Amino acid sequence: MRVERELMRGAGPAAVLKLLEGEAKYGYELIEALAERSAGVLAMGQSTLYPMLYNLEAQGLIRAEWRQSESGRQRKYYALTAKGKRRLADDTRQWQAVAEAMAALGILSPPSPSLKGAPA
Amino acid sequence: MSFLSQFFRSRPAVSREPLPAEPPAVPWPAQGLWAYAAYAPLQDLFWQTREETLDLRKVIYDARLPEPLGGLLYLGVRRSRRSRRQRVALARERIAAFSASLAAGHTPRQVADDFRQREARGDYRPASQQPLRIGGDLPEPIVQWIERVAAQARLAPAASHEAAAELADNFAARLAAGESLDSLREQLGDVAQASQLLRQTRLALAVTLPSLLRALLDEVLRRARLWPSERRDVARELTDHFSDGLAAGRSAEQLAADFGNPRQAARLIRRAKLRNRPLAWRMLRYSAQGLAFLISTLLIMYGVLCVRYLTARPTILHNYMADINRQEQAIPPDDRAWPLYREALLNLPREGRPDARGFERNAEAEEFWPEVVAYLDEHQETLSLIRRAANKPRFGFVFGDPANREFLQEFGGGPGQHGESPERYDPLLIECAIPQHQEIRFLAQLLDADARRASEQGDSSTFINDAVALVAMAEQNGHAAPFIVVDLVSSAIYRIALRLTAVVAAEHRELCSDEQLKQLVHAIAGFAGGGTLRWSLDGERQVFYDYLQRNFSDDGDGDGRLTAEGFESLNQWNYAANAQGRFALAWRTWGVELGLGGPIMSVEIAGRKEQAELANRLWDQVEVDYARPLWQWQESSAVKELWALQHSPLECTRYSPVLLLLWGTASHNVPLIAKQNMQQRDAVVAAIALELYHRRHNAWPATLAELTPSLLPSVPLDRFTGQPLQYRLVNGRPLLYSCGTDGDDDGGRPPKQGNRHASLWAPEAKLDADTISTEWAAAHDGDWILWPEPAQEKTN
Repeated sequence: MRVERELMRGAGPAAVLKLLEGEAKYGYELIEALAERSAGVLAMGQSTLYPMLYNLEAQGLIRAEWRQSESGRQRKYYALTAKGKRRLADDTRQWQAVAEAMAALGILSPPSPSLKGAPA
Repeated sequence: MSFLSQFFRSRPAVSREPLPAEPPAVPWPAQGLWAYAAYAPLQDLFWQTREETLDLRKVIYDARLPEPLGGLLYLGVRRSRRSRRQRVALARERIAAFSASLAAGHTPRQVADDFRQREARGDYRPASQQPLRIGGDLPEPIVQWIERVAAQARLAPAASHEAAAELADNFAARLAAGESLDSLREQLGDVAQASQLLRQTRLALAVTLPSLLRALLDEVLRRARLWPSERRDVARELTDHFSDGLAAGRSAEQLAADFGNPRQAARLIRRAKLRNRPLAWRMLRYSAQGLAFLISTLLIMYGVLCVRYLTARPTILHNYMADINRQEQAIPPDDRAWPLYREALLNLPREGRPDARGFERNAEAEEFWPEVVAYLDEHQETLSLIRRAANKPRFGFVFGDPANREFLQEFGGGPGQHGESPERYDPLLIECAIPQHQEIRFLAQLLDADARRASEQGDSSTFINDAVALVAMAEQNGHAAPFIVVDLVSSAIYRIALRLTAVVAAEHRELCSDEQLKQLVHAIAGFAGGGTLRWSLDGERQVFYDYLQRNFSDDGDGDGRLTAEGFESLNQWNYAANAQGRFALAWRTWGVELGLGGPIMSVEIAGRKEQAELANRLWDQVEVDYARPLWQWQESSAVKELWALQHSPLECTRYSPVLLLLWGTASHNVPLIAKQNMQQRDAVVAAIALELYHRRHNAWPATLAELTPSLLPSVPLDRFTGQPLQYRLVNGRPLLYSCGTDGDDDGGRPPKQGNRHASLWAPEAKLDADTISTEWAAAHDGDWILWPEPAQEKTN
């Protein structure tokens, strides 16, 4: 299912922040995780993901670091900053409110869907 | 091309010719203090040692190598493109190697051959300058591809070597992992594309990607236009991504499809990276963008204004000169005075005229008076011609009349100054030359001098004829052309007649008979219809309309905008006004006299309709305000408005045509001359009436009222007070005077600074005594003596 660009513009950053909540990830991992855990709904190409990462970095929500991966290659890992954590908490509250409102309107059926594989 | 760049371009390449088989011997080392200073390392200079010399010749010479090794080593090391210290180190290393080889039993020739081969291969050049050599067991096509990519990337030698090595390692690993040579060769792709990517990213891994992904990466990086460090960072990350994808078993096509639109990616990446740049850089960028936007906007606006300005063309619909000519051409030829005046003037060329000072009425004139008299005697026939001309009813000068060519040649700007014919003469009215009126003043001076000589000789008939002719000449000029300047010439001639009559009435009382005096007084009183002397600005309005039609465009509805011709004309007028010490328009200080300012000025300067409306309103106001009797004058609100316009930078520019063209006419100066002439005329008429009264009663009247109604219709007025003209007997002689500028009776005493100071009018005259300046009050304190002329005036 394709998500409208405007909707993706709001959901994408929140999804990326959420994925980085647990541990630092590099770009390929993020794309894979997004596609897998949202069942392809929030899948995005590199042309969308990397500019988004750079923007989040410019906003100070994530920080980037080149370091060696488990395979021995140097990779650029992205991790959540304190500011990013606060933003994620805010976004989460807002999305919950939106989801509840949508449910109240009958657009969503409760319980609200959660990302596949996300912690309960 | 600069000298330096030429120097570097023409620098000869280091010779790569094989070293000679028989090289020259090593040169003898330099000796002495300077050689020591030049070749000793800096620290050795401080430690006073000579162990570490940098003199290559000395190092090789001291090694005592057998020939040809010494000379060969010297040549080979010198062209190794190393620093001095490195050359010396290389020489020491080779000397050690040579010694070892010789000790091992090799002959000097064998050692020399080995050295020659290694040197030719580049072994002794720095690693970065050594020819690229791909090691390992890579197939030749792969090696060649890597070498070409590395060479065309034009990287620094070290980077190029490093990239080539990395590429070779990568391909070797892939071959070792089982990838077929054919598959690898298929992925190599275009050398130019790979080398360009390598140059952009300095990243060998990126070049190992399949050509499809390389092209994608190259396009994104090129379009993103990032700083080199940003570009390498993005390249590295995307390359890693693709490598991960390939390692995960995805095809290049699939990865390219998942990537998305490269243009959009480049745009978004650039935007995001710019946000990550330092605040100072972003501020500078925003400022530059703002400035560029501002300049672009201004340039576009200026371009639009230029088009608007340069497409404005004047439309000349009306020939105002034709109107003037039509009026003069309607006069019957026999009634025209000008043909006779012209003949008289051609008889009196400028050369040979008496000194102009001889026509004055002062002490200095007496010196030149005999010269004037002789001139009069010489030109009696011409004087008769002038009198005959004065008897004609109208002036009758036609601009463009071919008959005037000789006159214009002599007295004007050339025979063609007024064009070829009256019908074809269509000049800018304000620049129209009028030498005919300038020269007529000389004829008036001649008549005045002739009359004065006649009065001294007791020739009343000639005196009367000359005086009456002067008044007629003034009358003719007053109707000749509707220009203020022509009116002023007429006024000046009339004033000559008045002064002549006043002097004779005072000093040659017995000269004229009663009848002659009556003839003269009727001529004087009848000038310009008698009564109130009028003045008109109609001609100046025509001049202004003509100016507008030639310098503004015409939209067909009476409006239009300033043209390029108009702007140039305004600049010339501006210079002229400034040169005359009047005022300069604000834009002189803005530096926009250049044509570049024209488009902007054409917007700032009000349109044709607005200019005409303002000029007419101001002139209307001036005509109303100064038509009042002199004692009721206040400074015209039009004059105040002109002053306000001049002192407002924007308004001054906006209405500059009005300011420049109205400045001389929208003032009290011209109407004041008319008022002064009326006052003098009344006084001269009263003086003749007094003479006639005295002849009848052998005594002077006690008041002017006694002259009415038999000699005067009414008692003349003091134009400065509105009361009867001041009259009193002083030492048994009558005195006529006006209270003058200050409006109070000083008993017939003229101002200390001269009689004329009491004849002026200024707005200050209406100020109260507490406000007015003491200097002004002192300068104008006194009465205006009208008759007889005060002695002080005669000498001035």
